[in-house]
Amino acid sequence: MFMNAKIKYYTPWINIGLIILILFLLVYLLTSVFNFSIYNLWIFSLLMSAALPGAEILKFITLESINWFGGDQISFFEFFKSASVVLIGMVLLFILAPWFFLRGILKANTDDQNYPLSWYISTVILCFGIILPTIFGINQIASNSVERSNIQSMEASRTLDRLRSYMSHVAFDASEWWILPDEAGGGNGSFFINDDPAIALNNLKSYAPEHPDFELNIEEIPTDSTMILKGSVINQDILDESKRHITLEVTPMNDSLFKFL
Amino acid sequence: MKDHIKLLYGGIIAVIIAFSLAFLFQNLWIGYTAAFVTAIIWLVIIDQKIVSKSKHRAAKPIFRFFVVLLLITQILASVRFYMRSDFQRENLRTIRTTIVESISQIEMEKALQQTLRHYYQETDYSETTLEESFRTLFSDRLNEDGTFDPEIPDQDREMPVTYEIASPDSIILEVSAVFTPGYDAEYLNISGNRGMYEAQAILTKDGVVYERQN
Repeated sequence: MFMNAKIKYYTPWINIGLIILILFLLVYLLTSVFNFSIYNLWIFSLLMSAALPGAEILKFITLESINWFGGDQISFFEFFKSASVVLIGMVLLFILAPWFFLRGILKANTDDQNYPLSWYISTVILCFGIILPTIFGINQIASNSVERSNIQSMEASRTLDRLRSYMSHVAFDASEWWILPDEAGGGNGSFFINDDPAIALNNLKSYAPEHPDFELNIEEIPTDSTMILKGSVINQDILDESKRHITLEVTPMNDSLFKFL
Repeated sequence: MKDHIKLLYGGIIAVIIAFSLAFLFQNLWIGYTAAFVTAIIWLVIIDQKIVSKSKHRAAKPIFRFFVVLLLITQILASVRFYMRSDFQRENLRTIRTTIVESISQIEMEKALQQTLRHYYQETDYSETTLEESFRTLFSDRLNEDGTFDPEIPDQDREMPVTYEIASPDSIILEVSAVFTPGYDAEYLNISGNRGMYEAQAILTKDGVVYERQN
């Protein structure tokens, strides 16, 4: 008698566990075994939004950023659609689910452990609202080292972009120096004046000898019409040697004026 | 709980009103945060008005356990989502600004240095002007409305370049981006936009000066 009462008490919670298990298995089977894409289904979007409203915002901002990067603006309709999905998700997760969850518990207490259908639905939503962020958090911790390495690689590329930009400024100055006549303090069509290696980086206004991040050098002896600049990243932990140096050829005779090698 | 049904309607309406800030500020995170805080307040009210007064002993710990766990996991996930979305947006913005800055500088400074080279090395410069060299080299790219066609056609017109002959020996090229933001969000661009990337290159007999305005 006592055992029966105990089993009856826990049966609804066991049912909830089974429903969650079946739903996870269903998603696994559809996506991994049958290769069926459920991610574009509105019902999946709504369920995901109900369990993780913040994920829908991340999705929208990612799309918005990609659109913006391509020179487009995301339409107000798209914004409205995402906002509506997030709002419905929030009302479901934070208002309706706790309400029907509580109502079910109170009702079951006075109705011999008979939980209404709304209790099952709301409890499943609440459980997903707890389980999915937890899985997401664990997943994040596991992939933190990969993410850190991605960020480092991205920062190294950004540093290289800044070096490229800095070298472009210096290359334009070198080209201008080559073009300007003697009386204007230039090379008058040559990187030499009276056979001296007259071009010096210090003559170029964009050159910063004490630059905190980069070092520039003229490679070899410049010819009449060509000068090679080598830029290096200093004082930074960049393991990939190819992301440390850039070489540039200044050729003011050509219409491109300079090119990266 | 039937007596408290107004609380349910009140909660739904309060969350909807709080979330409407997203439409006002065109920012989903603002709406989300306001609605989240409102939902927490509502859950506390439910706890005080219904759960605490319930005769069902198990209701209190079960409800509180689930709600607290829900709020903690959701807050942690939201913070993570916010940081990631912010990182993605900033990263793409920086990349785009770097690209636009590099392209616009090369586009303008190259044209002006070619003009300077033509002036000093392909003409008798004591008898001609920079304007003549500029028009000789780029007549096919100069439009009557003051725009300067880019060397590589810019289909999206993201970086329209304009030219101005300030004097026969002073030429100004200016670019004002359509989408790419600059340093100051309040900066009034020559195109009439606000806060966009803008730069100019000025050619005189002494050379080219390139300046980023915003």
